[in-house]
Amino acid sequence: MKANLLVVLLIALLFVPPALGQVQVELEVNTTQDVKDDYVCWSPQEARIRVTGSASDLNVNLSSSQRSAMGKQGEVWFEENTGVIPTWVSFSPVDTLSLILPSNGDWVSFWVAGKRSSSGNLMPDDLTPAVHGKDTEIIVASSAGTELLRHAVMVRIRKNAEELTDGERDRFLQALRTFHDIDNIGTLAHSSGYVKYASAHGQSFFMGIHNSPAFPPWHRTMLLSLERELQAIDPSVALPYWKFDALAPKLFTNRFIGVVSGGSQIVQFDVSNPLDGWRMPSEASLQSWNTGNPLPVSDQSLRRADNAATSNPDVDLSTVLGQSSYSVMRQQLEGNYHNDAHNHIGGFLASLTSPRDPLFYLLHANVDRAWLAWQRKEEAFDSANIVHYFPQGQFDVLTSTLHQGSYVRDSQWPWNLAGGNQGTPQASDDWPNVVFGLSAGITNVGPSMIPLVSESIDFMNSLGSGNPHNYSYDDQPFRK
Amino acid sequence: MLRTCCLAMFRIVAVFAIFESSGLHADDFDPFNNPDPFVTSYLTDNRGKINNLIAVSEDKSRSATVRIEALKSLHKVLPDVALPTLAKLIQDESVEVASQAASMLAAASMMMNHKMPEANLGDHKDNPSVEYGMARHELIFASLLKLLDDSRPKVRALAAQSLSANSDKDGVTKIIEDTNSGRYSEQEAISYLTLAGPELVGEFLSKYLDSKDAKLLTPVSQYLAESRFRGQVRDKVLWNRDAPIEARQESSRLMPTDDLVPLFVSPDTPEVLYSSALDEYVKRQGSKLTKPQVELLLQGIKKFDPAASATTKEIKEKLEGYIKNFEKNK
Repeated sequence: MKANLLVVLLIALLFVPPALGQVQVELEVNTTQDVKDDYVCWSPQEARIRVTGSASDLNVNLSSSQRSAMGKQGEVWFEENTGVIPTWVSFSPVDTLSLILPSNGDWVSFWVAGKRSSSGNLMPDDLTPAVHGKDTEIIVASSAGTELLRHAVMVRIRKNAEELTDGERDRFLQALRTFHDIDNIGTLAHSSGYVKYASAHGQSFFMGIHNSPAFPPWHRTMLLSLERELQAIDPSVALPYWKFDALAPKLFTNRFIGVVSGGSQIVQFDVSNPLDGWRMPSEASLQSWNTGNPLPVSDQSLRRADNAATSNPDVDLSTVLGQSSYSVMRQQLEGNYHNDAHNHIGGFLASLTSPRDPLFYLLHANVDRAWLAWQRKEEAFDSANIVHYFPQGQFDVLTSTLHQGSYVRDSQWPWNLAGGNQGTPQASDDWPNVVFGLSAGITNVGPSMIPLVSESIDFMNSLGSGNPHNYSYDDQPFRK
Repeated sequence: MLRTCCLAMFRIVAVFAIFESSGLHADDFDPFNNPDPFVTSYLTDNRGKINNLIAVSEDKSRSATVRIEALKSLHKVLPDVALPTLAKLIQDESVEVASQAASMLAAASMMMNHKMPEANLGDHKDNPSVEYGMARHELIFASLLKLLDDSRPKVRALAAQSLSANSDKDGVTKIIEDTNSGRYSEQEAISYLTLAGPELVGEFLSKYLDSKDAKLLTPVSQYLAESRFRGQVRDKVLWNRDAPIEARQESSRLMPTDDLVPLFVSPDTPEVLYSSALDEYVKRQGSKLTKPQVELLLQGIKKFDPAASATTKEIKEKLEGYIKNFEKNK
């Protein structure tokens, strides 16, 4: 009897679909297995999904986990990948995407992005992308509704510093402090954490990053580079921006970016603030830091002349947005909007090595956001269009009249590791080759390891011809 | 490679020769000479508007309010286009107009217009942008320098602050001369000069470390505490029992940690300084704070009476709390 039962069971097993219990669905954001890059923003990023161990093709539906009752969680939406890269005009995402996964295990590609209204007035939900790291899930369910997979992602967006939660603020400050405290890393004797950015800015001040067409793209790359360094420390961090055309009472506190008071220029922090005790080298030592000198000593307290909690810079974004050419817009952006913000705060921020003050990055994120707002308004994402960026072409040592790094097809120093040649025959004033952070944190989304000016211009890949840099601003959508 | 180097060398020499022979002057700056064709085209398109705004801002028959609004509008057309008018109006007889012009010129001096070091000119070769930028720089800084001789203190102050903040050598030298001749009060001079780099003004300001006036000594000691003059700040202020207590407290927040230790063992350290130095010391030591260090601090506080002072009582309790923690975690 028992033997008969065994035979029946064995025969029955032969008719059971093979490895039913081993059907496995895999999903990769940015088409890599590495979950370190599973962070999305408003612009679509490629993802892929496949099934293995299934006897037949599998119909699945992709959807996003819903915002929590607290309303603090991001959501994502999707578009099928038809082989054409979605542009800011064509991108038509859906909340639920139906896909057929072939039984042979081939990957099926799709696009995923943070969910945000396309245009017009901001919706309250648009301002609440993720705050808790990977608190959003892509849910994969069978057509019958059986849940097959949850894949964690984060809708990571640069937000107004005034609107950060305490947790977001503290994670950002802690990452900054950790990065600040890095001294010598790796095998590069001169490779310091935060200090190298201040020195690079100071030493290239006259090499075309100010008073020059390269001002917006150079700083755009610099922000992204530092942000990637912070994300290598804490991937949930995104650079906040200081919206300096309004008061910023939450930012200018001793719990956040610090305050000056009583006529003293020394910035004060709460003892619990990770920025407390922030010290940087003097400007003179950073300006003379070169291949022959040791790492400058950080012995200067942070200094500012003013806050912006009760008065803010007298700037007018409409003068920037009102221009029709890049050249004039850039002069307004730099000469009015940006300079007034630096001047309002003063202290370190009014020096050549202004990135010594971490507020620099929040200020410049707002400048970058203003450039993006102009780009959206003028539809100016085409790096080959002289109205969208000028000058075109590439630096030529014999014929060019502007500095290397100004022309649209130029690579950007210091990320191009071309050294800090200051244009003099003396090697002693060459700045050391130091590795900057474009390779850190996220490895497979733009810009290139040797970034080009052109890549900064369509950094969201609005025209579908470049590579998205995987960052967005809360109030600047991808879609037209 | 050799050819490129030779060419670069030639151009460096050539550029220096251009500047040496041309003797760039403030009047050489013309915003319509901007090397960017988009900018000149924009300015040409707006020439009528620009001329009108210049005319209104220079029209002395109009109210100061109207003239100032015209200046602001001109600045909004493009910052550079307002510069020649600003340079003119800083000497306007209306103090409101002159102050506004000085303030806008001072703002223009920051950030965009740091003077390019000569070493950088080589890389810019015969770049027309360099010549344009240098002419703009001359216009701004020559105008500000001229303002230091303005009879109106309000206007003069704007120039003094701006030139100091830019560490402009000529400006700083003049401010120091004028301070010595009594044009500025010592407090005024200190408020301007502490905006400049210590390599330019440290020597001059260090003489105030002997002052007994807290209004002078505090900002100067705060300024010099993180410079090569910090040894003088330590000896003349932080450790000097005759120095004003505010200045000693402020310097304790900036001086190296090792310099704070003698304050804890000195019998002369006032309670309020002991307290602020202790806070700073504990904060900086953080998790590196050791039991012997805390015992030393407790020893030092014995000279104060906890029954007579809430501050001392609070410090004592805090230190005893650390000792308890050390023993608990042993």
